[in-house]
Formats: sequence, structure tokens, C-alpha cells
Amino acid sequence: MKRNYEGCALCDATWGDYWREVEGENMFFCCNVCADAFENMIKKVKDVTGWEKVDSVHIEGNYSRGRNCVATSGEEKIEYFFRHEDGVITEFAVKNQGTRPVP
Amino acid sequence: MIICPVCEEKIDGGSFPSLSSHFIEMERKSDSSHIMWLNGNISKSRTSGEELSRLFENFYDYSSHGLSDWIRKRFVMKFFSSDPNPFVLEMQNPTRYTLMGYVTEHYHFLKQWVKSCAFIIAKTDHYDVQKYELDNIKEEYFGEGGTPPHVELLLRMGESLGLPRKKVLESEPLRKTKEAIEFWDNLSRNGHWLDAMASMHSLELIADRNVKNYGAVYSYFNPSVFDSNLPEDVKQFLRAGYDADQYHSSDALNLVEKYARIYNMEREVQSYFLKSSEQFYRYLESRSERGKMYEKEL
Repeated sequence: MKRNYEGCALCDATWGDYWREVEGENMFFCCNVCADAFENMIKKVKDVTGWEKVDSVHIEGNYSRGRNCVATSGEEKIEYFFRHEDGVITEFAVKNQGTRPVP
Repeated sequence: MIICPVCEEKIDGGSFPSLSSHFIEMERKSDSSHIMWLNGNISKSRTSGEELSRLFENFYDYSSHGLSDWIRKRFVMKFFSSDPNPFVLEMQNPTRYTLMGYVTEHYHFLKQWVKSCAFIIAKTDHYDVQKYELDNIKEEYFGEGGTPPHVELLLRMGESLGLPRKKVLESEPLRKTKEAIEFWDNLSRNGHWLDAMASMHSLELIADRNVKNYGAVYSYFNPSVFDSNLPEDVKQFLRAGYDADQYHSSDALNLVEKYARIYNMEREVQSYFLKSSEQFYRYLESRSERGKMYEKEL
């Protein structure tokens, strides 16, 4: 899965050494809370879109303000906002959904 | 003595290299609490132990403006920066449910508050500290100059929004509120009165109008709320805090600085202030959570 962060897949921190397989890929996270949040967020995207796989996810934001994201699968994309607390998704709002490729 | 601001472990030797070693040990275990603290307070980028020790030294340095100003500055950065606490964001334009969540969780906070003040009184012989805490208890539970007590103003605010007093009194605090209350109760009961005083009264900075002088991007709420259509009881409660906490926090932090110097407890006070502000951050999240629960329920 293509991502915009080189550190933790959710928050980009480079502390920690936590690995978890998400979507068949072994990913680096700083801690289990970020891994839970990321995994639950991807599940939510798949539930909402009906996609079988997610090709890319671009995340902007943080814990305090929540995160604006763009995810793609093939030619489809979804723009959404989410928040989590302790890894559990507490808010998820679709902002846009369509087939236009993400720039 | 330095205490880990996350797990309260006493750091051997009380030095920054030891604190750094402790954090490095915990981050290597991918401990979420310690990593989140580093991310939020020091840096998101992994550093060497030596570099982390230097960063800690800078972080804890209060030499330029004194301990009380260091506390103010740190509090502002945590709660009122461009990435403020989520509840502070909600309070910029509060809904009825936000305020209802505020009422219920804060009711539990206030009950602990007076207990902490009482523990401080019981543990010190310093007249200025005892008098300060007695004044504080009086205002919370008895009111002053004909003004109803804060706890009564709080409950009236809830009622004016449609939240029955009985529902608040019979509620149980949410998990994060409960954990925070337990921390403050334990510290007040078993810790040094000065640590308890710093931990509790630094929190009054949340409503301090002077936070703008310390780089706050936000204030607790937008003062235009006083000209809004919100019920008068809401305005009266917010106004009481707005007027009172300015001198409360300032007086208390001056006392904390004075006695920390006398007892040579600056590092310990810093440590407990940091831990307390973490608990307070989570407690404020509980207010938001309760508000969302009311939105679904009522």
C-alpha cells in the first residue's frame, strides 16, 4: 500500500518498533494504538466503499484535529475525515467519493 | 527528584540522562503512552539517548522566567496551541451537548477538587497555603459575595440546557474522568502537598484570560459567548470561571514557585505538573465524549 509517511503509518513518528501486517503488508508503527487506529481506519474505508483492497492512503492531520485522508483503489478514490481514541474510530465522515484519479 | 511524567517511575539519580534512558527503554518496547508523550512534547523523530537528554534539559529549563511561568508556558503549549485539546476546539462554538457533557464530568471533577484542597490544608502548616485553599473551597461549595457556589452554578447551567440535576448527581464519571480523579486523589492523599498543589491549581490556567500572553492561539472559549443566545445560567457559570480563575491560578502558582524553591522541589513539581496535565487532557476528552453520548441519548 502506497503511503505518504516514512515513519509510523499513522502518525509518521519514528520512535518505537511495532510491526503489524495490514492488507498483507508488514507495516511499521510506533505503537499498538497507532496500529489499531490505522487498521480500523482501513477496515472502515473498505466497509464504506466495498473495495477489496486499498492501493494507497494519504494522511494529513493529527490526533487533536483529526485526520483528513485520501485513499485509492484502482481508479477509485475516497476522501474522508476520521478521528480515533485509543485506536478506536470515533468519527468517520466521507467528504468525497468518485473515480477521478488522485493527483 | 525527577519522576517520569508518564508512569511516575522515580528516575534514578534524578538526572536527564537517566530520564532519557528510561524513555529510550520504554520506546524500544513500543510503549504507546511514553511514545505519545514524546511525540506530543519533545519530538516525533527518534534521537539518540544523548540527544534526548539534551532535549529534556531544554524542555525542563525554567531558568529564564521562573517555575510558575514555565508551568504557564507548558500548559499553553499543550492546551491552547494551534493543535489544541479537542474540547477547547469544541468550546470555541459550543453546542448544547458540549456544555451538557461539561456539566456532568466537571461535577465529578469538582467533588475531587475540594478533597484535594482539603488534603493540602491538612498536610501543611503554611498559613498562606491554608488560607488560599480555604478560600478556594469556600468559593466552590459556598460562594462568595452573594454569588452562588461554583458547583451550584454548574448544575444550574445543566438545568438551563435541559439536563436534570438528578441525572448529573446520579451519574458515574466516564473512564478517563475516573482515571484522572484517581490520580489526583492518590497524589493528594499520599504525595507531598506541594506536588498536589502544583498538579491541581495549574489546571485553573484553562480559564485564565492571560494565556494569550504566553502564546495561546486559543482561549478556553470565545468571549462572544456572553453576547450569544445561550441561557443566562450558562453565561453566569462561564463568567464566574472567567473572572475567578485568573487570580486563582496566578496566586497558586506563585505559592508553588515560592515553596518549591524553599524545599528544593522544582524538578518534582515539574514532573507532577506534567503528569497532571496529561490526566487533565484526557479528562477534557471525557467531557466531549459525554456530550456526544447526550447528543444520541437526549
